[in-house]
Amino acid sequence: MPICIHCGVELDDGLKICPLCGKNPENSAAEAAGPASTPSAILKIHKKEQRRSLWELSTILLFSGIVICLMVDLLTVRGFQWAPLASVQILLAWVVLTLFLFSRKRPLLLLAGTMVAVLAALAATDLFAGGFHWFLPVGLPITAAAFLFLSILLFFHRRIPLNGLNLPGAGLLLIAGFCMVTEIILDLFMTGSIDLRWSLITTVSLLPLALILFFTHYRLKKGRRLETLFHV
Amino acid sequence: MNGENHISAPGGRSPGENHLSALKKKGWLELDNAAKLYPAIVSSSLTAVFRITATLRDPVRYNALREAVTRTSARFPYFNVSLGSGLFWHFLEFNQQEPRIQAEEEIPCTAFAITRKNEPLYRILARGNRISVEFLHILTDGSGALEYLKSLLYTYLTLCGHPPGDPGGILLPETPFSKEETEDGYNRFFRKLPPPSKSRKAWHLPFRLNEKPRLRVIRAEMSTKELLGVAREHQVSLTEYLVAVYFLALQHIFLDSGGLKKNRKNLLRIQVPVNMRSKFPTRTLRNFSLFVLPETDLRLGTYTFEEILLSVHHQMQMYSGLKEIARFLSSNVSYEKLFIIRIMPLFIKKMITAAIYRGLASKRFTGTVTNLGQVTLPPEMGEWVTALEFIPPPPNPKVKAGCGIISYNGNLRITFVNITRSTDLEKVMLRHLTRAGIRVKILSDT
Repeated sequence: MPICIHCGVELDDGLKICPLCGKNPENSAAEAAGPASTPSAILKIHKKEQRRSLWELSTILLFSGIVICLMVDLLTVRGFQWAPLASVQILLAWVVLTLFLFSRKRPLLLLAGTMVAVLAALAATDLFAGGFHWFLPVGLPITAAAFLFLSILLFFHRRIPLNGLNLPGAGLLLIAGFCMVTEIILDLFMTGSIDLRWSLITTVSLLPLALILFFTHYRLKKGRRLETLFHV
Repeated sequence: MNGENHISAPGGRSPGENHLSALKKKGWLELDNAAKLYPAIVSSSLTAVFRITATLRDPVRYNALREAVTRTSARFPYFNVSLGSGLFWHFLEFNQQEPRIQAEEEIPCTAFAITRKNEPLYRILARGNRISVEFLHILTDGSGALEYLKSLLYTYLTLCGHPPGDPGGILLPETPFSKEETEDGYNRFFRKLPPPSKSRKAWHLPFRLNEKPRLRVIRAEMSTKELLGVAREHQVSLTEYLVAVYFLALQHIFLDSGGLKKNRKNLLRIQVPVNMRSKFPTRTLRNFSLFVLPETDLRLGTYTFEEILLSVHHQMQMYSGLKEIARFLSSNVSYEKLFIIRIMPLFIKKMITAAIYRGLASKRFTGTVTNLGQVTLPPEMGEWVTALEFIPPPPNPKVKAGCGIISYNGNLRITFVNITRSTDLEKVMLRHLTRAGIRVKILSDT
């Protein structure tokens, strides 16, 4: 009788896949072809099932919320006044939840999907509030800037491990940059010219703090990780 | 086997079989007193899963194992259950599912997906010439799991064409079912007694935890005869001797890490499970064990090994006596009988239980030493089953380490479970054993 080279158990003649590991019993480089059969694989499947159940329940609840809002609006004012705005926010919550549940391990997709959903929600809100007024000059660039800074953080996290005090340090730098961009966009929308004030104060306050964090991380703690620093 | 099974009831079935069919008709079982704790505290790292492994002479034959599992599981139907949630208590629901036969992984005692529908609460693992059973403590304790494994091995060897001889007390598929097998021993032998005195919090190992997955296992094998000889020289039992060595290792680490300090817990206490079936007349295969908690107060000074041994011996003798253990049992069961606890919604009960466990119960002892004792199999089986091993559940992050002991075929195996980066505990303990003249062999994973 053949012996599975992965598990070392004897199999009956003719078994092409080992029922224990789900792999070809004679091929050392074989990928699992059969059903997952290790305790940890079952746990992974269970976590997927739990996420699916949570998504189904949330979908029922959120879409019931939309229907209730629309009905109440329709029955009280014989038309739609506030319900479309509420529905847009509920839809946004549903899209973000869906992305978070099913794309957690793909941060770029999660980030891009969330940005598109937020932009769509802002555009719809502006539209329902009486036409496009603030979305294009303010909502779109500020949202895009926020996600751009988040993407930069993600990019550097992949290149340089941001897992110690350098993580809050980088976060503070990006917050400073985001504040400046926001003030520029708001200034252009409101006055048509750039006059940096509060964002400069924020930046000069955050910069030294970020430098202290970087210094502590790279010189004093020699790259110690946050999880060991706050180990309980 | 209990005599009741041999008296036929009306309809030609034994009372045990009638009880079993009534249970199946009812469709569920209440959790025993010990099991009620686990749903509140189990997690992916604190799994409450233990493993017993049998090493065979030949590689495992999958098809024979599959058939043996089917037959053995039918004999132990009360293990074919999954965990259900009621409004006030969890319960065990019959699910007609056989346990999964899975490939043994590197990290033992992986968690069960207990909230998954129809998820079995025990599993069979195989790799090379090893067959293991892993049970969630909600289902049974080490003795119950050992009965299952013996039955599985007997049936497996029969199917492989290796006649395993007279089964003796092994429960086989054809052995009549006894009503006692499913009983809750804690409730049966409960009587209201004054509670034991409250214990102080114990000192804990100061080591940092491993990266996830945290559990690391070290196995050591030695001759039972040699160890028993040394224990007898000191006029103590084998368990008492090993508990004393564990205390000595803890004291060594305690002194190494700074010793006696003000405002520090200076008490070493070891949790030693006691099989209650040896104290009370029952054949239950569900949880029926309690603990003895010998301690060493280091405020009184440093102890020599002889002093520790003497203290452990007397404490173990005293606390494992029927009266003291009955008092402990009474204290545990009386909580679940309180009206306010019974009507408390399950989610609140779980939150309170988890908080009490994390805040109090897990801090009461420094380590755990679980001895499953001497296992005997029919001599014909002994030719095919070369070794047995017991891996206790992973320790909690406070206690950090523990060990399981099992003796079989003239050999004793100590399995250390440790979630820290240090191996000092194992090192000091095993060095002491070798200095006592016992030959110790460290085993590899396979």
